[in-house]
Amino acid sequence: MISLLNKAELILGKIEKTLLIISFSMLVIFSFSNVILRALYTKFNIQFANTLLNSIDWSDPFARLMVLWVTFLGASLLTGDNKHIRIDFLGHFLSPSINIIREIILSIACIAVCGLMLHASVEYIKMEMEYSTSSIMGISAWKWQLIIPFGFCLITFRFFILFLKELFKLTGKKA
Amino acid sequence: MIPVLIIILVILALIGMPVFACILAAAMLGLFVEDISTAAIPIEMLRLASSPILMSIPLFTFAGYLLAEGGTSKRLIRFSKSLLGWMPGGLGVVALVSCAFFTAVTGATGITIIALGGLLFPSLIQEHYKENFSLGLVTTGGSLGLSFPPSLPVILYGYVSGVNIEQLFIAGFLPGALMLLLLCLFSVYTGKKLKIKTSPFSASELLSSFKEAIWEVPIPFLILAGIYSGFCTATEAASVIVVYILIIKTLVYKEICLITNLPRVIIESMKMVGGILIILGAALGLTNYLVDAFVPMTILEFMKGIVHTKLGFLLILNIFLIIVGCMMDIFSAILIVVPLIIPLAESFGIAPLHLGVVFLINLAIGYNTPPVGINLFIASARLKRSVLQLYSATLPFLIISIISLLIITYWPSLSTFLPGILK
Repeated sequence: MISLLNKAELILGKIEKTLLIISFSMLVIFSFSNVILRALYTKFNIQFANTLLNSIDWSDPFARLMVLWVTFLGASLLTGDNKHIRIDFLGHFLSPSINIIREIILSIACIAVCGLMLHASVEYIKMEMEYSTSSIMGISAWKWQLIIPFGFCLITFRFFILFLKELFKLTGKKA
Repeated sequence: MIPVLIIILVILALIGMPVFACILAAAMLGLFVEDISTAAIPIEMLRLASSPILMSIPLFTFAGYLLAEGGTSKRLIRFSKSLLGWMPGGLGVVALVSCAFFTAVTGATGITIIALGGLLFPSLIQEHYKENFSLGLVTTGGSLGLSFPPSLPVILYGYVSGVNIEQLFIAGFLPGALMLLLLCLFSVYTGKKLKIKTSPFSASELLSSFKEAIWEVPIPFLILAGIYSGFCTATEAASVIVVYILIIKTLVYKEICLITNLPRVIIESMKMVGGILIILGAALGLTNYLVDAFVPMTILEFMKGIVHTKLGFLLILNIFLIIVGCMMDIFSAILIVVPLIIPLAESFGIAPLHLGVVFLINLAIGYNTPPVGINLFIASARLKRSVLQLYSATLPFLIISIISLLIITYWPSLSTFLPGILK
């Protein structure tokens, strides 16, 4: 059971990391080429740059979309490390065993919140599928926005793993 | 039922539930009360993908993490040592200046103490500075320079408040410099009092250390020049600087390998970004509700009942923000508190740029404020000293910081003067 979970987490981590590296690289490549092409056209009046810029007019919204992808993938990996930003003045003063109980309570609460958000974002995507018309690179916008439910799904799962790990700590088994 | 849920949520937040989850829970509760579908939250979160300004956050963070790899911190210290090491209290001044520089370029994400503290602390001890002085100096350095470009809190503040980011960077320059100057004077005074030997100035060492760091030292000035000359926006500067740092780190200094360490740097920095932006996304969902529910207006009515003057309001703001700053990290604080404060400050006639600077400097001080300022814990872990020792070690620095905060707060033209003439 535990080794299975560890394995799932490991594979999940690899997928997330690969996607994260791809998304961030896209963000850099497209934002940089946009800046350079625009500078070439506006500052040096090179017509070719403008033509190229027009042919990749989707690159700017695409780069901005990658911010959303990076956010959710990064947040999910951060959940795995249990390093989310929090108001943490208790953590420095509590005894380890009370800390475990605190972590268990918190992970249950987070599973509830992120699970509800997963539901909310699935509802949202359903609406988008019906009414949305916009698209990036010929792929309709809602498909790109799938990162939101996908992200909440990942984060919920990661909180679930955290919960189990803390539970194992409490019962004395090694996770 | 609803009040019970609110109380539970507050307790969970105080015992350490991740901030983004707390905000999402609050947003969902709000929508539930208003009987609106929670699908409204993902709609607001999508705004993360609609603003060009937000693109600069992953870019600058990555640039900072990249700089923290390899020998940049060593080269930086060597250069500032050869530039400033000759004066009394020289090494202290060196430490403060290089910390401020490093905090600005790494976006104030807590790397400064980890990257520079470990180098500076032993050398300060070696030069016979007292342990507590050295500890306090390095810890305080961790949040110095927060108002200089391209610091992330400034960008985030600009995004949330709608204040022009380029203007905010200009506004933050003199106040940040004032605080740095006062702390440096304290270091000079201590150096003189302890009669610490100074190393003589050497032009050849200055030249050779500058040559070594020639690709890195100009980075903040390049960003400044690019933005203020109108050549590029902050976001454009961010993507250019990322490519620039990638080139110098891989080709000039050969410290980063594209295959072995680059993926790790991307992942580490983007985890940080994910942590900040997921809170921003959640806050976008919440502020909507807050605005709908007239929460700021209610607070305003309440505040107007107890304070009547601008000065009184600023004083309460200072105290309130120091408390917030030592409980919460600066990013969550900006996202949660700024939308509440702005209508208040407006009604008291405080200039938006001045408010921004006061807000940022104030929260920076919160980082070092006992009992729970985060810098105290980072420094305690990195320098292997007890948190209690850090409380007393940082106290004189905290007092100086608060004096500069008061000057900055009650002398608005220090913040608004430069943006005024550069317009």
